[in-house]
Amino acid sequence: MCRIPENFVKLLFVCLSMYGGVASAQIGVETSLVSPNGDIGQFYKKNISADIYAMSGDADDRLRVRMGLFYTKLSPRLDTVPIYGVQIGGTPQTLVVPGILVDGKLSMEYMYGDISYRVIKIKKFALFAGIGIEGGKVHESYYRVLETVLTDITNSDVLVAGYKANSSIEYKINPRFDVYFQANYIHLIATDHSTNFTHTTMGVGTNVYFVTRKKSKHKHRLTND
Amino acid sequence: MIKRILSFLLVMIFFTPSCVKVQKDVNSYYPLVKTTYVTLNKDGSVTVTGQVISAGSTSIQYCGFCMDTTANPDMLTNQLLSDSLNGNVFSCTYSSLNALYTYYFRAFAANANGYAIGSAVSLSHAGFDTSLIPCHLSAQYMVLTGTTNETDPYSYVDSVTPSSTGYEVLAYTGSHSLDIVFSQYPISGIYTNASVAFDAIAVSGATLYVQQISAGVIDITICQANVEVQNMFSGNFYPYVMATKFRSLS
Repeated sequence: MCRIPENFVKLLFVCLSMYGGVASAQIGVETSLVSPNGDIGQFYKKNISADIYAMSGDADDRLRVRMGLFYTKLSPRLDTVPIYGVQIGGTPQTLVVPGILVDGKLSMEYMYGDISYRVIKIKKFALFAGIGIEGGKVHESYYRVLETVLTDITNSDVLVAGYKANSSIEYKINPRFDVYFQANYIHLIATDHSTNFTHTTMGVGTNVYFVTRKKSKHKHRLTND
Repeated sequence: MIKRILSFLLVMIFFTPSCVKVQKDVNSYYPLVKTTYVTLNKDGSVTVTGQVISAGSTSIQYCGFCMDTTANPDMLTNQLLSDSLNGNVFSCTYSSLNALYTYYFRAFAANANGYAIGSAVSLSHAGFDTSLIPCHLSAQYMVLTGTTNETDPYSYVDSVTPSSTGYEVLAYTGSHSLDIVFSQYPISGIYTNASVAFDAIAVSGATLYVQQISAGVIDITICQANVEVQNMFSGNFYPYVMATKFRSLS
């Protein structure tokens, strides 16, 4: 069984607390297929992620602001990765030192905030495009050996930060629900050693609108006048 | 509507990732290499050739060989790096190999992502081509040509023994001595930098041909060396040309 990490729950609590004061706050959930890219594309497989977020406005708003949490856990693509180091000096020649890297699972959990703009609306369909920022942590564990030179066991968290770009196609089921397909590009860099944890996600989600705003016929009439 | 679609596409292009392409097959990141063949050169050295079958997802940064007397040598054992990649072929030359052993060679190549190593190719009886020896002498004799001609049999030949300056072989006929010092343990090959002393007088410019016969036993041939022989009556030195072949003790 997949266990929800404790830190993720804490972050969720913080996130929802921050949104508690927003009268028109809505919520949504999303699940995506994460495709590792950047420095991790070579080492980790695709996997499913989960997003939960709070959102301002309602289904008919042109501008939408979201704040959410993202979590995924990635498994290594290879049992052992052939790595090498280059030893210069101390020997008569440059020496290529072979080694192995054994990756453990890598988990990413981060908070994000984004703003999306409705570009097109055709009947019940709407196309959104947006940008955002995110920050959180990545837990990585690996075992690395370079023959006679290095043995390194790492099991630690690194802080990450970056930006995202997203686009989605939404279908409005009724004033309280819509479903969407979303594609994200998430550029994420470790703050201390610049490892690039960039990934893309493609997934489906749903928005739940607790508070809806019906258009006033009176106001509509006034506008027409 | 068109303006909105265009602005949407513009934003998406701006955020199009410009990072490294993710390979569908994880093995595509790494090079693929093959140890192609081993060539025994006339001087006893061995040229090993390898081929990069695939460079992987980045260009090759290092390529070379490792070598050992046991099968499947480790990449660090007797590693030689190739200076250049000719197309997808590279080679290195190992010298000073022992004719008594079978050697195993493996090619490797590394790109920015990792490395790959090829399977081993073996070679037995490394050593130089004896047809390169320009003279054919009878073993255990020293031939001196000068004012008189002498052919002296050796009365005593020592084994190869470590000395303060390298590895020394002493040989004596009834009236002359030969003292040869190699900087490294002598195995099959052609030596031009060994220290040779004839009757305790240094001989310069001698070329020595060494053939390894068995463990610790070598044949040493000198086809032509300019030496000076002292007349035992007058005490004067006379120039002679020496040629010799002898076998060390085990």
